[in-house]
Amino acid sequence: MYPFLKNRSDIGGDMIKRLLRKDVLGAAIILAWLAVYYGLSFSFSAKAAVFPRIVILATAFLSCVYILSALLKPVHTKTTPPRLSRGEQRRLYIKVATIFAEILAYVLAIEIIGFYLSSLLFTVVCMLTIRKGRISIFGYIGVIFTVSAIYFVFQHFFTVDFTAGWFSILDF
Amino acid sequence: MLSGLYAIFSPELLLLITGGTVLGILIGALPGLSATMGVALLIPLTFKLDALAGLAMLGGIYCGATYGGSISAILIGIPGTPAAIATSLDGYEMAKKGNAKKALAASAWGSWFGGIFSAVMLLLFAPKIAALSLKFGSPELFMLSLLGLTLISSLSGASILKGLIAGGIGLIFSTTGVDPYTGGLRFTFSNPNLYGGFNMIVVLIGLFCIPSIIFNFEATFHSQQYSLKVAEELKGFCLLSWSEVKRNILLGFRCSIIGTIIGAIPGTGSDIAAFIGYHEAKRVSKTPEKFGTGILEGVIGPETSNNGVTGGSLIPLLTLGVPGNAVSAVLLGGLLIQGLIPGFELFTKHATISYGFIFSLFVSNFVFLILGISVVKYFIKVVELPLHVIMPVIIVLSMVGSYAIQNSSFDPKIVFVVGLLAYFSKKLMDLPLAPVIIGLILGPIAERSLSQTMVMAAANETNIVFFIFSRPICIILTLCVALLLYATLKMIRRMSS
Repeated sequence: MYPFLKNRSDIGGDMIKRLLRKDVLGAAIILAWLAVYYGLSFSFSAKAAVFPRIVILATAFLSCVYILSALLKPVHTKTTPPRLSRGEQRRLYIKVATIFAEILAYVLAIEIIGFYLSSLLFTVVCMLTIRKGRISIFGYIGVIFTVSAIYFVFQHFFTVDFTAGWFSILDF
Repeated sequence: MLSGLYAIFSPELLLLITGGTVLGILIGALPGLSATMGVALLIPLTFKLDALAGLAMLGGIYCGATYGGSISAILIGIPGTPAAIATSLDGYEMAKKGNAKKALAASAWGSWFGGIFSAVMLLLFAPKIAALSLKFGSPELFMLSLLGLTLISSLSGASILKGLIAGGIGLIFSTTGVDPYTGGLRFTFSNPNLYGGFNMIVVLIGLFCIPSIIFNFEATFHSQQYSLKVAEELKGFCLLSWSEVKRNILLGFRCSIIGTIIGAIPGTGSDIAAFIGYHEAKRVSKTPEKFGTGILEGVIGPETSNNGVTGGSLIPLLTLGVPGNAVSAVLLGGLLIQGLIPGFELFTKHATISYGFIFSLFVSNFVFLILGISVVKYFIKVVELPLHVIMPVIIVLSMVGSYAIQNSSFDPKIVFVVGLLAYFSKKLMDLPLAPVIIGLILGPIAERSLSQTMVMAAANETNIVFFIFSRPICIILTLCVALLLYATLKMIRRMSS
């Protein structure tokens, strides 16, 4: 069965390492979220809360089983060298965080400066963030043209009413 | 019947069907646009056309969009429609290995096979299948949703436990909005944008677009190669070898039958059929452990099933006026606008129109097959573009697509939040994402049918368990659930050994 049954002293020694595992942390976050949702379900009528509560309890049970099984498994000590150096890894994390921040700024800007302008700004900023080397002017023009074409197709052929944001005051 | 066949071969009609199918493929391939939306948007265009021409064009859009979803699923890993999620699991992996042309061939031929099979069934057995589908009441739908939930095991990858947790998360998200018992609000945090619950396509875009694009960025960060995939030889048609056809012909029949039956059951759709098709392909495979790594059967199974739905969903629509899914509900509007009432009269008084419409589905399937094996391969060139070009365009397309669904600037925010959560759940736990969508699709069906079953059992003064098991179809479906669980356990044992 589990290796810990063969060697009980193993439980205490690696427990902290196991608790700090990424997947255990992920399952713990899910458990916390489920606890909040379970608490919220008390504000519904008894009948309306039946289905969500059953699902929340079942998912919480599965998360507990996952954490327990992860804690009981031995810690893998992989010896494969990391693909990226520590500096490169940090640079990658910063880039990913920057991209997420840009997407957040983009979705927030939609209501303020309108869909088209925010899309164009996001496109250029995102290209500058992830580029490797120099991008030719034709690269920028091509992407801006594509974004404009997408916008045009959705607005005129699929009759999507895109928000113009604050610029809607100019639309007489 | 023959008058319908003759009518369809007029140049004007052939042009309209081809145009509808091409438009459908584009709509299906664009994330955020679905077959339902395409048909709904183009219904006003059919006002000026005669009844058969209008319906044939709408049928072309329906078939084309159901197939088109697989193109973006295979080439960029972002399913154009929910029905293509299962296709992306293996199709995208095939494309990453440089087998995009083969994956596109499997998708085109599988979709064609499923579409033609379901159109034949519609032509020959429509009344019989419609009578069977009408026997599906709330208890049967509840059991069917339980059957659907057992499919999570197939889509969970290495860990079924993680898949079940992801499915649970999807089910919890599906309870957001108005509850079916009292009409009260649940988990809306007083935000009016959440009163209608989470839109499935918006969540789909968030789950599959943002994490996929960021992971591609991470994967190419250290390398000189800065495009998503390797280049491929584009000469020749997208074809399957004779041995591949022979190996998969039985799977094609199984998945076509699944698609047609699922399509005929009201309240279900091509997304559920595709997941069941994927599970079936994995169940009968001699190498189930290779699923998810880029295997041909992983594309053929779901694609055959989801296109099998096209004809299946029209069976109850044309015979009884009961739409099998959302697209056929919109098509029902198209029929009524043309002054056609579904039922016996449609196949007698308006036989030319009804049979002409069915024959137009055959034409549409041939149109997308021809395009699929000859033209679609050039889309492979798109993925050779550098990441700094393709990444912002895909993100903008996702945001535009999510906004377009309800003309709401709240939906792009949902895409961002879901994408962020999906990215971290993948990073921390390697949580599979497809089960979240299964939970989101089946949650409302399961809850609604369970609540109706409880009311029905109470009205009959019976215990709900006895009430469910007093119905023959429920017993058959329970046996199917048990068999599926048994097959899954056997498959896990086989994979682990």
